[in-house]
Amino acid sequence: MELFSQANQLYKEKNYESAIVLYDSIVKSGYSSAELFFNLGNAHYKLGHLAPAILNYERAKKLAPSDEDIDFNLRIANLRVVDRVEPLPELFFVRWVKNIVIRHSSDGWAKLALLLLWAAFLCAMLFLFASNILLKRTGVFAAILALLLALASAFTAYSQYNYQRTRDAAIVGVKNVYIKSAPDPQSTDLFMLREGVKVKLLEAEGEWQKIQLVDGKVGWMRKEGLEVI
Amino acid sequence: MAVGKSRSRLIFIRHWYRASFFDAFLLVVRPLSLLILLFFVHAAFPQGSFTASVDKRKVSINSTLQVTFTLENADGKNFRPPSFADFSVLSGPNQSTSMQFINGSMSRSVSYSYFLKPNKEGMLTIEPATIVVGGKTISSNPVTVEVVKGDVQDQRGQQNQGQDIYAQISDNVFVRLIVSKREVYQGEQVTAIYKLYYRMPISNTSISKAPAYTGFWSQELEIPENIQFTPEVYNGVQYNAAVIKKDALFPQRPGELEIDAMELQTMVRVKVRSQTNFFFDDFFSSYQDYPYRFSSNSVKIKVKPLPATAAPLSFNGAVGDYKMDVTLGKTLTKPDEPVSFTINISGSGNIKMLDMPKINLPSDLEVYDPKTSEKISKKGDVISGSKVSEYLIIPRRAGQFKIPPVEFSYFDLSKQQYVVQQSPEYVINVEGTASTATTPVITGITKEEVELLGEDIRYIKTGGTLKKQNDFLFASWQFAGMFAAPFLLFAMLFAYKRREEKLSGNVVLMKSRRANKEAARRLKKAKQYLAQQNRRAFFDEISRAIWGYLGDKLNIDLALLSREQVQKALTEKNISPETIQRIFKTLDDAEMALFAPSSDGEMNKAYSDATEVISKLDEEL
Repeated sequence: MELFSQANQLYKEKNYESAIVLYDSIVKSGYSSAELFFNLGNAHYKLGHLAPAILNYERAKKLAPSDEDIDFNLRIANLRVVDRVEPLPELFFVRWVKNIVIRHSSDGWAKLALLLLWAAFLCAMLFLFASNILLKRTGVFAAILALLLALASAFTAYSQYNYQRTRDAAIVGVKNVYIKSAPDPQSTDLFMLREGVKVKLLEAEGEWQKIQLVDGKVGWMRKEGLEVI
Repeated sequence: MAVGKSRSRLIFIRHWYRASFFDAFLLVVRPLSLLILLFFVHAAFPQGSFTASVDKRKVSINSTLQVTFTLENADGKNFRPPSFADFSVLSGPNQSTSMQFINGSMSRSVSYSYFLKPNKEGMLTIEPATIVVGGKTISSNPVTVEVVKGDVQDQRGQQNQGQDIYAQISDNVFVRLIVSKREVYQGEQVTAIYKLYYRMPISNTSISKAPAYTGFWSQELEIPENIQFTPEVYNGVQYNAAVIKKDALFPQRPGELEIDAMELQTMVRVKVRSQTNFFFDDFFSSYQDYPYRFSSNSVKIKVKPLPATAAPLSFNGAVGDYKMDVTLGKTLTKPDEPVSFTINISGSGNIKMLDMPKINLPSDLEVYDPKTSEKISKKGDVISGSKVSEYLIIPRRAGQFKIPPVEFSYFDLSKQQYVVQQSPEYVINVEGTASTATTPVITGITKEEVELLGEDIRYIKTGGTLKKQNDFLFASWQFAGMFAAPFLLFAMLFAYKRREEKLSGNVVLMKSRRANKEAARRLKKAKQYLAQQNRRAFFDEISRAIWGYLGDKLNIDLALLSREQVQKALTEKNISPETIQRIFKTLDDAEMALFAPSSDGEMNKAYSDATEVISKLDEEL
């Protein structure tokens, strides 16, 4: 935490290189937070390092999906990416579900689940020990409702947790890379990607990684050109 | 289709002609004798006259006619010949000037002469020619000649002699078309050589009609500026021969194509032997120039189409023998620093019409249209040379960019198959950053996004808590515990409550709840016995059902149950005396029936009484 404030101080003094070194050391020691990645992304952006900036914004966004500042900076950084990949449209309810899921972090959802569960428990107590028949009935319904909500929250927490743990997206970290049709340097070039493009990771084979763009295009590239989010 | 670009061209022939001494002498003497002749003729003309004359008034349609326009003692300008509508001009105008001093006075004359060939029979008129003398235009006289069919007899066989002369000329002066091949592939070069042969002195030779080369793309091959005739034996006879035209032809379509004939015209000098058998024949024999028009043979060429199968994708019609060289100026550069890229194709074939292979570059590399130049050697019989495309590639941003291999394919004539040549793949490393002035504009962004581009990023966040990576509440023991706890607690509390209920005085309640069930069970059993006609068991069960029911409902132990107690308890519970009476009556009936034989109807009545009583009791309780 102390290191973090120090790094922030360096950033304030526009000493971005040193700030990056400090931020990186925090990341290396195994700690993380949305703020840490956000600040690191900012420092890289200030130095014109496009790919690392986007990478760290994406990492921050993953931890705090609904943070507006992260979204804004990520958008600005993405404007400097040469390749404009238009995402395929998603079904409306998939989008809704996603919007709800990303509203809170996994921990947030887990806490909510616990809260609801304990509320359900209290309602159940009301049912067991109240002498008034009306109170008993209200207790039963409230308990069932709270229990269902608690289970839904737990499920959301689980999907968020899964999302945080899966590392299935990456940023192109080199200036440009030719995407091949097969994991073989002799195979045909399908298209070229420039620094900063976000790709989805499909299967890997040795040194090679199969990737998919948000518009659905698929191809192979060497792993060394990718920075996993 | 490219059509032959051949131009008519006058050939200056340096005579390679072995003149005898007398010939040489004659060359000196002849103009002299002409002058003498002119002296007699011209003396008769008045001064400043412009006249037309013909050498004969009656001619055969197969022979030639000479017409001469003569201007005497004046300086003429702008000589305009008539149209010669009914004649073909074989040669002319041949201009000659003479001067003569007679008795101190000078006479001079200028004459323009034409050799004509009549186009039709009959009385033909040669229209007057005009010339400007001292600002005034004067005309000559018209001349009429008679053209007849066949030979003209009264000309002393002169025409016969003329025909003989042309027959003689055609044996001694001719042009041959020689081709290098008669069967070729489409696009393969054919060399057409026109060779002039002569063994009579000729002069002023020129091409009157160049070959059209329909269906061919032609390229003129170089021949020496001064044509040198050399002795050559053809068909056993020695001629002076020289190549006068050499063209490389590339057939543009398959099928049978004709290389057409070339037409030449020349003046042939023929020695006219005098009629008298004079001592020095040669000395006095005279020479005459005959105009002569002749053409070469034509040759048919069979053009085979290129094999359609297995033509490579990059094939663009090149036929011949080529080699491609591709060079990249440098492989390491900076943004905006141009790199040259050259494609050089050299070899033999139709280089001028060669389609250069194109390069396909990523959009990060800007490239302008290439500068294309060619070097073509027209020496020898085969067109060869090279064609160069020079590209200037300007990388606009940093990165590692590939120049895909350039592919060029052609039909190799010696191998009779397609050959594909491919350059290696080049990689340009662009390092450094582009100067801000030429930062590439990122395309495809909206207006709103352009405004965003001008904005700065938002400031760093200072709050937040750091936590260990991959440390999730969801996956922790605490979460599992906290999640499971309410369920366990609930289960425990639920069980506890049940037990409490059991232990507390609520046994009465439970018994009462059990009463109906128990009674129903017993009545059901009784009904079974009824069906079996087991009287004893039946009535036993009926009374047990009622007693059991009463015991449960009134919470009295079965052992202590007595009629008095029942009556008392029921009265306390406000049960009507009739119902109480009915209960005891039913019980009495059942007990009595146990020992006294009775009918079936009795059992049925006892059953219905028992159910009725129980339900009545249930209602009232």
